[in-house]
Amino acid sequence: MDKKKINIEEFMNFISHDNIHTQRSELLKFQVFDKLPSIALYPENIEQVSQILEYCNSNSYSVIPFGGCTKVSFGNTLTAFDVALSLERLNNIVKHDKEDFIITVQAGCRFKDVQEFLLSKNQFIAVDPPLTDKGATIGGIVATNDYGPSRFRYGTFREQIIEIVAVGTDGKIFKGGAKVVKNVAGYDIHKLLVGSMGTLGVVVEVSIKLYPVQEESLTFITGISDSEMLKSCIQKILNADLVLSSIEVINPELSADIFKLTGIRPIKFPYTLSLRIENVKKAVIDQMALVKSILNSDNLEGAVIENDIQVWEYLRNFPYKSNSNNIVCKVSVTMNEIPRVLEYIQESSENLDVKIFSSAKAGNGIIQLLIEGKNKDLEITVELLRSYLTTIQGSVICQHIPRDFGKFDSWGELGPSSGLMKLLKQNFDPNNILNPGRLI
Amino acid sequence: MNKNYNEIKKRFEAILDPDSFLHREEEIIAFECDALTYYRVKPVFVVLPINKQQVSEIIKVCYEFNMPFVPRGAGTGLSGGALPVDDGVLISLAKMNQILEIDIPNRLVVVQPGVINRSVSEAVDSFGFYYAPDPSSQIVCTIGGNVAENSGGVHCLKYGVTTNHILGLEMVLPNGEIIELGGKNQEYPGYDLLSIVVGSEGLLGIVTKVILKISKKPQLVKTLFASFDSIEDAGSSVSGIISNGIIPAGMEIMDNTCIRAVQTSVKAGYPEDADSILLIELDGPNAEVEAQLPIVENVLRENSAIQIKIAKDEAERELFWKGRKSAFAAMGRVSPDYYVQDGVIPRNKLAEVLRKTKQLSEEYGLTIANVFHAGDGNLHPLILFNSAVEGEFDKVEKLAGEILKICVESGGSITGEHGVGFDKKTYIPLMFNDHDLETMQLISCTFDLKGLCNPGKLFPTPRTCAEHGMTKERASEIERKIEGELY
Repeated sequence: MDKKKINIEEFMNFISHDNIHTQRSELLKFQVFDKLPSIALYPENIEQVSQILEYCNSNSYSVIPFGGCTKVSFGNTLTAFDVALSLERLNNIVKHDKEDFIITVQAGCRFKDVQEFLLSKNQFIAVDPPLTDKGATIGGIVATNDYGPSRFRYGTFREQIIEIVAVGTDGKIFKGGAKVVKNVAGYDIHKLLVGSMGTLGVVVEVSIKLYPVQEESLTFITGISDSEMLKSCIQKILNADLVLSSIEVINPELSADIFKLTGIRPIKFPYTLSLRIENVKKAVIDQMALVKSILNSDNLEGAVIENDIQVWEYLRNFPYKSNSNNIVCKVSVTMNEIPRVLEYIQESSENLDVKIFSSAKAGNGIIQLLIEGKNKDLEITVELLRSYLTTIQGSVICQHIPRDFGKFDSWGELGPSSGLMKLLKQNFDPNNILNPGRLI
Repeated sequence: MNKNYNEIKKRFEAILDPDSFLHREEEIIAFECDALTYYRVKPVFVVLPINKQQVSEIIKVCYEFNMPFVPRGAGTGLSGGALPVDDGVLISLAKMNQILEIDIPNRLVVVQPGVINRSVSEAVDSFGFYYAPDPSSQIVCTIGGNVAENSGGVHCLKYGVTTNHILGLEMVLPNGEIIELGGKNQEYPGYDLLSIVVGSEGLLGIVTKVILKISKKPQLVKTLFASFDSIEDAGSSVSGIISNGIIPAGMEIMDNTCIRAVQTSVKAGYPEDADSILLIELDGPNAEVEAQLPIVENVLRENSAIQIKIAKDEAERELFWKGRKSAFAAMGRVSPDYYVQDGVIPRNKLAEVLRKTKQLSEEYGLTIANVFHAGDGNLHPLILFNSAVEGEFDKVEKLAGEILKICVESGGSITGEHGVGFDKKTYIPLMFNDHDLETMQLISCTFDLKGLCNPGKLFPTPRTCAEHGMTKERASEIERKIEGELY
């Protein structure tokens, strides 16, 4: 059956004219690879999101939800794209329960605005995703499960979100979780929605756990010469009596930037280990002393960075710093494989015509990569990495690929439960209208 | 008797050793309830498979004959999650109790579902590690049950509940297929199905292997309690500590009824005349704990603590905790029976909610003892009663329901760690409307199209997958389509 042509009048039954855009110039920011929508809608409340989805579903119009449009090239090519659903006008802080350390916000709130609001109250959301300066929204970060270096201590939004309200493809508004820090009633639908790439429902409201701002933060940085040494250092640090916020292993291309930023005398090592400790002041100072003594016992010298905020800002945003043709990807392996995989990446990059910036979350088994080069070389690099990683049960996903990259699978194998994932998608979205093709 | 029972029996006998297949009444009776003993149902058969293949084959038989089945770990659950169904099979995972792998460099342990929670910590203790979730029943409860219920414990304020400590699992789906979710890595592409299965109360399949994260043991642990004249002061101390940037490993409040009961049974050193006590545990590197302790003491004093006692050694620390962990059992000293709920409230509503429960207690003429995880607002009101008195249990259930209503009205949840199970399924609509529950049913249908796996739990009314937006034709169409890929 042919789809009915989109008729702006019909959308005006539930959304005002000011909140509908159809001009090409207005639609360009929603371009996903080769596809542009026919219409962009800016609902102002949850009921409008519900009406839009119900209407689109009954007409089989495909809908792509957008937040800050900072990660539009994450995921596979869309198989259809009729309606861009921007959540940017759904941007209220619904409630901040300061005493209970919980905030409820609408999905279109910019992460940066919410975090600044909370910092003024001496609280914060304990995830540090990239692109927040470019306007990344809470909803977009939830959908992509994006995070930064503090993942080691705090996890991702999966750990921090306690309730999500979403709109299903049939327009039904549903929630998972509750606005309390501990709750096991019902299935954890809020956790399922984290990282679901806007394919199961449109997230409209999120409740998040908060933490008190830490009194002090210090960072220790040291160079390490080979992967065996790196492996033993990581284990020693992780086994020590330390509460680390972040433990990152940075490659020389990226550490050069960090040295420039901090004014630390550049040291040319294949691996730069960067450790962050945040706590009450005395605890930070004492733990820093312990870090030094552990590393000194391996004859490793290093530097303490005070006022370390900009270092970590840089490390969380580096994947998106490039002005050249690039891809951004993320490797996941067991944590003890990190040194070996880093070594492999370093060696193989020497034979490829690409430039790689990388930072590994050594305590999580995750490597964040920015790879610059021509499309053909980028593709070869990812394919090489993918085939290497299958030998150690690892995976690599791409979070950004160039617009003209052509047909490419950003996810790789979805593993032994892919059949179940497809069935879940079909049950949640029988007409396949939400982000069709992006993930499933 | 269902005409197929004989055929099913034959099939089970072919799969299982005789001592793993129970069908005589006297053998089955031990499995008729879990720790919520007020409900008892005898299943048709009890099976105790020893490996995943047996679990899969049993479930394939169930699938073929449309026979419902219920998984069971140690049966310590408090919400009736392992309550059998009278026309079904009870699948006990007790014999699948091996620790399969300890991988210290990757900080993980691979276990079968019947492994006891505490055994995991014991197995990695010598390496300086432990498994963080520690429900009070940890010396008997199993990891499989913990996964089903998303169990918490007294230390989950700082370290999270079971879902935060599971990397992956292997499970048998309700059609007999064996799949894996997650694994040894912390991230995999695709939907986070693992998050859905953990805490799904055994409705989505039977877990046959679990990959657990283990944690480094803290360098220093300091345990202390403070006594108060009013439970409000204890409550504001909790908020005060958190506001000061300190997240203790655990914070527990007990009221006077509890304190006295505990003192008669274990002599934990609590002051019997105190209105309430707040038990606090700080842990972490020496530097952190030592910096935090004076701040905590300050907050307690500011909130009119009468006495502050810091455990002087490990023996005293254990004693303080023994008092807390034996609170439920100690109720046996003061009452023939007790009934416990585990509603959650926003932490700043503590005083208000406790006032309301006290009022209800007076109205119903039933004593309520309060012991709870104060740090995360997880209440455990213990309603004391005598089941020998006719009609008293009905009254207790009604009162418990009223308490749950208060919890939800205050912005909370009907359960923080015990699960909905059979016990609270009629209360789940207090929290979730039809749309919420229908969405959850979409998940049930994804895993269990025939509704055979632990039926009659979690949801208030049984529904078939055809009833919520999915026609029977659509359901079987999906089934056919997917079957090609799944089997």
